[in-house]
Amino acid sequence: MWRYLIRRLVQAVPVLLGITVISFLIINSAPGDPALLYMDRSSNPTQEDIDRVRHELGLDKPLPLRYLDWLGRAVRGDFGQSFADKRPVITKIAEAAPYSLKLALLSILLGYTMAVLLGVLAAVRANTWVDHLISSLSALFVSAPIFWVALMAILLISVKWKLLPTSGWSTYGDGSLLDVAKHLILPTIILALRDIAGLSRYVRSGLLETLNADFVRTARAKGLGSKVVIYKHALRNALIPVVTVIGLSLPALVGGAVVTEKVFALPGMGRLAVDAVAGRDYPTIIAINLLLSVLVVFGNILADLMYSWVDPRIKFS
Amino acid sequence: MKRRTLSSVAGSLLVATVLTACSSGSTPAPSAPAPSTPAASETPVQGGTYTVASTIDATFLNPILNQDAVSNDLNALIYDSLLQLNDKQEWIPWLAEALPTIEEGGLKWTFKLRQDAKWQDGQELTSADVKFTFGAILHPGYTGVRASGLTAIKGVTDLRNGFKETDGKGTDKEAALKEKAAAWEAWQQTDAIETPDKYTVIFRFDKPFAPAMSNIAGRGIIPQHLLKDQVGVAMKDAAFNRSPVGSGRFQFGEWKTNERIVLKANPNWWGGRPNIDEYVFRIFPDTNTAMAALEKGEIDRAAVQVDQFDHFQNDVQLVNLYEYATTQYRNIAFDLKNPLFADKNVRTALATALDKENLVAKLLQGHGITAWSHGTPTRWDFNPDVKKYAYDPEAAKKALDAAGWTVGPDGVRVKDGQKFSFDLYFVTGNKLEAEAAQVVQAAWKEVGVEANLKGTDQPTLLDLSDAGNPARKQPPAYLLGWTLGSEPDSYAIWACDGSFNDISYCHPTVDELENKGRTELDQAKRTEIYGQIQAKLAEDQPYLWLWFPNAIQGIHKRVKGPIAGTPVGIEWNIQEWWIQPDKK
Amino acid sequence: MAQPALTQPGTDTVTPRIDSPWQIFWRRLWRRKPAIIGLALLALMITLSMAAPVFTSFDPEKIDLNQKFAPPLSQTASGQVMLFGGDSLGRDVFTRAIYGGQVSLKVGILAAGLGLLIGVGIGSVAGYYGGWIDNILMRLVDIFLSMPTVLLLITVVAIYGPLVPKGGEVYLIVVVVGLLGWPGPARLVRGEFLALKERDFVQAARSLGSRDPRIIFRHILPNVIGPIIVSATLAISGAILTEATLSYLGLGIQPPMPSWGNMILDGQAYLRNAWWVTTFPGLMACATTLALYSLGDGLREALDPRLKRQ
Repeated sequence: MWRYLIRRLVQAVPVLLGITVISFLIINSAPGDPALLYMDRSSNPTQEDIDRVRHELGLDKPLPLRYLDWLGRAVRGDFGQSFADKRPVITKIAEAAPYSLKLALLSILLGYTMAVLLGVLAAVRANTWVDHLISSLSALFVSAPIFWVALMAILLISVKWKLLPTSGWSTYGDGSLLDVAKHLILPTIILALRDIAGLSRYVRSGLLETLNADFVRTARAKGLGSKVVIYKHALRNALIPVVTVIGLSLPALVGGAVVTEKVFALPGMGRLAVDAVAGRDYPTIIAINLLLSVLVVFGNILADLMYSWVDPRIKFS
Repeated sequence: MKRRTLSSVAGSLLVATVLTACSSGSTPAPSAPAPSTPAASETPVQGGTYTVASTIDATFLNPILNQDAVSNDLNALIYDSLLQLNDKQEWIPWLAEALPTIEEGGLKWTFKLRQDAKWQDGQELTSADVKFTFGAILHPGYTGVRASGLTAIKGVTDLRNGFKETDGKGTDKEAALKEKAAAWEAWQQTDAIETPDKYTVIFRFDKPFAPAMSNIAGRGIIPQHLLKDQVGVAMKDAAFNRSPVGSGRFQFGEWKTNERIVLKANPNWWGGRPNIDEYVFRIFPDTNTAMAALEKGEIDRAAVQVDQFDHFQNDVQLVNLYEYATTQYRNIAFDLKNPLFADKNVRTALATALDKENLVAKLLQGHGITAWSHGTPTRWDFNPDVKKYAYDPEAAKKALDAAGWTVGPDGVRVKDGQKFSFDLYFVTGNKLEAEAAQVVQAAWKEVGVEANLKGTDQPTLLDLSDAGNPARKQPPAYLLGWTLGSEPDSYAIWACDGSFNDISYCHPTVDELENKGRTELDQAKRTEIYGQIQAKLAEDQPYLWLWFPNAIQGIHKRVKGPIAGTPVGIEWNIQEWWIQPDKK
Repeated sequence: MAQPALTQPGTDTVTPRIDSPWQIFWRRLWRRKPAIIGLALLALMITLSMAAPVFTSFDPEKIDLNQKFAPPLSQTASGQVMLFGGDSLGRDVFTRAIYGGQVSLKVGILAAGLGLLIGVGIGSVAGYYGGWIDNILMRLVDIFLSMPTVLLLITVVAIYGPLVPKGGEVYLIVVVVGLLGWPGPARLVRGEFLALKERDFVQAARSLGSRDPRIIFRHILPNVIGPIIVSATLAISGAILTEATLSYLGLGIQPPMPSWGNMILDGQAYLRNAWWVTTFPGLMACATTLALYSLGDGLREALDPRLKRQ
């Protein structure tokens, strides 16, 4: 297993390098001079000032050299200064990341638990109204724009019925666990909706398939109760495809977080990214891009490891 | 509402958010709903947290560096200026214990400071801090935009010309900077700004300079003891700008980027501790979220959009609405260097093609009035009798025909092979303006003029149009506006070499009047001068003026006190407000 | 992966009746009601959008401030009925919604098409040739699948959006969404190719001297059509959602040109006083993506031989 892990990690390196090359190329193909974005416009910079800043930022070097420079600093955790407020990019990310991580973990937890529960329910009650309801709802939430659902939820649940806060991470001056929890209920659910809707379908079809499989029939024939069959034998096998999908759903989670954090005014990475894009804050954009990719790549490796845990038949090779 | 502000003549490129457009104001509008006046039994109590919504974060909590309205509003709470504008836009003593003594025909202004003012770290505030503040603005390495408003101070024009000469010599950067710094040191030793004792500051001028009142007396004073090593280029990177120490009503608490800024009551303020304990400035990603928070009572103040007015007025019990005229206007600016707009007859034709009265009536729904020229009806120099190009599409078509623009095969006018088609920029964040841009586009289409809408964010538009940006790509036309201050001087916008004259307007009469207005100290004569400028501008239409907007502020009913929307915004007397404690 | 039962020469599947594969497919699809409803809904949306001038006499960009926030079914001075009411500038919401459908469907179909084209091409080559070509192409797929696409998307659109000529945002979005949307189909097609290229009929074609392109296009690709169609329906609904999200972030199609995304954004502020401005385009967008989703689902089941017994 360790050899497998090491091989996967080694394989991840070219993928991550590829990602940095692509994002670097996209950012640097942008029209306009980054030096001008970096500088304070109101100080009426002369051409000389601009040249000086270009030199300081290394913009006078050829693109491949700039990339290597950037990469060299990036591996040491130095992503340069934000164009927007001249603070180190890594500081800004360190401030924002905890919010996003907590939200993402909560919503993964909620999403996957609910997905398995609903999926099992739908499979066990296949082709009944319960199944149809779950299927229709999940189809609806997979296809509805997430920001739209979020806005409706705020308007109804927070403003109209006054059940939960409208936005933000916590009430200023409170910040107790209960207060934060209240603030996070809606964003967590909204962010988890896609996973719930998408994954529960996988669980359902996977479970239906295994319930028809030979070994389950054998178990039933041996006289095992249907609950035992479902939970002990069939579910374990049905979860295998789900685990592979978890890895693939991470980028979508990141994308959902961008929108969710914006709608709910949460100060996380998604919000940082949207602001960075709006303000053409290139060092921040490229750093976030890289970090999120790293997260996804490792998420995938983790998913593969879990794959072996749920399915002992799989050997690392 | 992101906007430039000409809050004083130095004309900061100020950007006010939709939610905090309170850096300026006016007499309460007649349509203002009666706020619940506090009952006699209600007495102020200390304590409580007051939360304000904004959609934009602050930039510099340093009053000599910030260019945006958001920071401006916060700096007004953290810092004190020598004088302060009251609700009638009159200057009243503040850090200075009285209005200045003006001698020698306007060339010598003496301010006496109050003796009980302290910095929030306990140090005494003295005349040296005042001198330091204005010295820092005039330093050769200064990166902000306030210096051009101080050129009338004795020797400053010469000093700045000297800087230019040094730059022109082409010596290397380091040496030039040293040379300029030496010149500045020498100027500091002259009697231009003198501090004969701890509580007296004397300003001397080369010529009488009316805007000095707002450019000097209205500027926040910064602490010498904390910033003296960071004068010049280094100041913009000072940690101080994100954790400031001032002398004002509220002191700095914390700043979490894009989340909130917290200010705390200054217990040692010379005017007495404000009632409210904490002033929380909360940053929302958009107005919808902020409106939801206001409606639910999670925040205490937010600017309410015109289209939300009736809803808040009729259905929301928690909130009082305050409506008042502002010193702002909205306009479409034409790049006069662009051949499409060089001809005055074309610009006036574009003005007559637009049913402005209807646009204002339908879009603003009574929460603002039609604008015809530069200025603001809330200030003494306003000239209501200017040329008004009324709606007349047929006349517009004729005028365009006469100007040589004939209708082409696709309905768009053509002259010398060039189509009358251009990009009209607007700020997407502001619904009202985005809608107005579409109305204008449709109106011009009717007369054969094609405007392609380009929505952009505020910083991009300001960068594109900023006259000081060497790489700018001047938009041919853009919908933006100004927030004006208490001082009518508009040299920066309309003089040929004005620093905010982005559209390259240059008219000898206006140029002369702008110069005259600055050196005239008599208000009646100045009213005459600025009235003429407004009349000339209205006739020339370098801008197509659209409307003067009202501000509408929604304030939670638990906020009590003498709250009133005024020419200087709504929080001008916030130290007297208080929060009614929850009845638990 | 699904083993398509279509047009597979040489397979030993015994069909009890002599129905053509299309007939079998239709019969199987017809049994799946959600898919049929989805198909009908989709046909309706496409008809409404593509033949918009037939269904409305309004100009989608015509401003009439007298009809500002006119409620649904109100009449204009000239007697026209505003089915879905008027928006903040008095434009007809129904008209804008069906013209907006043109834009949204165009973005969806073109972007999905571009993504599929690239994906099928790369997937076929990788799966057919295998070896180092496969290795390199699949690493490329890994790279694209690991990138936070939403972030890249908003970056590129924010940078280039202001630079494209009038109306060009549609194609910018198409290109960017398409260029980021190919890895999924590529992976799918590669998998099918890997399985199919060892099959007898391919081997037979090869031994008869058919050249690679002919084998790819004539023999293998037709067998992959099923899964491709299924992923196309999902890709289209994904691209429609992406356009809406971009518009929500203020980066998508610029007014006055309507799209479902920018109409939802536009009306969002008036939800309390004029719900119809944002609700109708929202419903149309939801209905379309839902229709595509159900259709894709039904197609997958109809094309999957393993589900025959159900």
